[in-house]
Amino acid sequence: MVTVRVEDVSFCYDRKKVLDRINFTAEQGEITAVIGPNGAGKSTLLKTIAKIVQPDSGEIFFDEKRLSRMRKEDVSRIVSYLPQDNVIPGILTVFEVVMLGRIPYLNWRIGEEDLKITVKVMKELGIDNYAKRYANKLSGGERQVVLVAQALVREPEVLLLDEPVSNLDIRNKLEILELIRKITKEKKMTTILVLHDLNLAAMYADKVIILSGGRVYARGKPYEVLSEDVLSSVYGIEAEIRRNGEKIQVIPLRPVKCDGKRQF
Amino acid sequence: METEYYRIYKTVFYRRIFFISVFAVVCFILAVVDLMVGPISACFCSVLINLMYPQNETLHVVIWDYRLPWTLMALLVGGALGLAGLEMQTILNNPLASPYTLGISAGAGFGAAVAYVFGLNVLPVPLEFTVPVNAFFFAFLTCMLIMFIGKIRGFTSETLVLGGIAIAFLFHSMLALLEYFASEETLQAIVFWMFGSLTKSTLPKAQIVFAVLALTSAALMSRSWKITALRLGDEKAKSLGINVERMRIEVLIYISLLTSVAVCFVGIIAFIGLVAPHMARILLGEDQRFLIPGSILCGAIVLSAGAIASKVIVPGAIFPVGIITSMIGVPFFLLLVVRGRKHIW
Repeated sequence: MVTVRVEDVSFCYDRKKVLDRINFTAEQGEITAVIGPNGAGKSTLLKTIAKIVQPDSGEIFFDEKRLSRMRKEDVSRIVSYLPQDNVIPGILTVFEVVMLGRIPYLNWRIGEEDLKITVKVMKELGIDNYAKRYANKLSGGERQVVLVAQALVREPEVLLLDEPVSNLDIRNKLEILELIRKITKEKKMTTILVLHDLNLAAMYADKVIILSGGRVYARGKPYEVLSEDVLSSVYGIEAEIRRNGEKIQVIPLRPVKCDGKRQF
Repeated sequence: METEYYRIYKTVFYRRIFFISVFAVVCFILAVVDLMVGPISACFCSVLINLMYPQNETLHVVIWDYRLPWTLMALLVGGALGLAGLEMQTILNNPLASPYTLGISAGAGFGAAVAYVFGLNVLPVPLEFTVPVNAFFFAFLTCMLIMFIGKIRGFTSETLVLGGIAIAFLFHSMLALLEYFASEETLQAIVFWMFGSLTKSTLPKAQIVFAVLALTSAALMSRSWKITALRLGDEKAKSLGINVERMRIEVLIYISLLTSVAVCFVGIIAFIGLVAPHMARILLGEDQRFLIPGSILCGAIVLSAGAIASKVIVPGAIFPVGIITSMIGVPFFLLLVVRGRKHIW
């Protein structure tokens, strides 16, 4: 298993700085949640770690290996990335969609090992009962679970999930995040999630990275970094934070003016 | 429990193999009927016997010199266009993409018209090959132009579709200009070529189409998983370690070869590249391991059926097959769309 180290990563799109000297480390066996307002660069950060976009400067390390020197094929065997978009076009059964996650390992004839892992993951996520259904006929929430299964079926060392629970009801949200936490701990995976729900980030993340305007505004344990002042600066909201030891609960109250100051 | 899923997977696997076998059997039946039908009608036995041993001199000549090349050409060109249409729809993520809609056929038509109007030959080949070679050259040139546009603006499906449509309009207008200045006789030849016809088929031409079809389909089959993953969208495919841009270029080169070789010998047959992949997809799903042979066979079925119909509609005369395929294909296609599975795209 690997530790992901992001060092001074910057990325521009259409002359706009989307990521500006980002630094952080995501440890194995931990969930790191990336939070921040829309357009803060959260998704782009995940894409740079998945080698889908190349940073303009800086470097990402998987342990001591430089990502820039790794082949895409090799990265795809270590990293599993689930994009925001949960559309599944075409006539593909749920089973096929999940199994496509194993493409880096698949031969023309599918091996028994690939089938076994696919079935195991589908059972863990409770989608084995609709294995034969067409994925494009599922509800948005069901599709999201199928795509999470597709990300897990590769048995990655680094799991990158961009808003993995955004279309799910509250029970499904909790179930999926519980499962992600369980797998992360058991398999010592390095998991980086983009989340919009601050309470879920506080509940499930071991570490939180707050992005604002392409920069790291704050980082640390959820109870350390999530405060009324931070939420006011980053999101422009007035919120109440209830604390119970290391557990915290964010109650958003109303929008306020944002000053956008930076701590890191 | 795992065994149960393995069994389900096997069931789906063998069901798809079964559908492909059915397509193959239908192809064979249509090929035999195509050999039997014509101004000199022949029964199944006499066709079979005269294919092996020349008993009836006239029938042997008719079958070997005329019908067999036509039949083989119908199967192979239909297969090539079916495969080209499938891959075009897949890499562009667009159900309306086909060699015709992206201007490759228009390029071929312009090349043929240049040969008819000016007698110009883009490559030093004998006179009888002027039209097919020009058609091949311009069809291939169209694909290269589409790729050039892709190189400038990025190989996204939107760029390629819009570039292809622009080039189609360009070649259509240049073709209209040539037709405007052409003599009546030349104009007739151009229009007839544009209809699409199997009448100039020969065994060597069929061998060339076979070689291209065999090589490209083998190359595409070896990349079947990666091509299937393109249907999940660019970002997902990239995250699976696929170089999406390079894959699009590779597949576009295969499409160029298939389409150019197919249309240069028989003219423009518009409908097959669009309908054959949809027919196959409805029964075989999105898995390219099955969809590639399925689309080839469906394309062969549609063109063979068209070839038979072109001979029997008016006894003693042969209708251009391009007109027939659209006439029989459109209602069939509409039936599939209206009554078939929803949410294909």
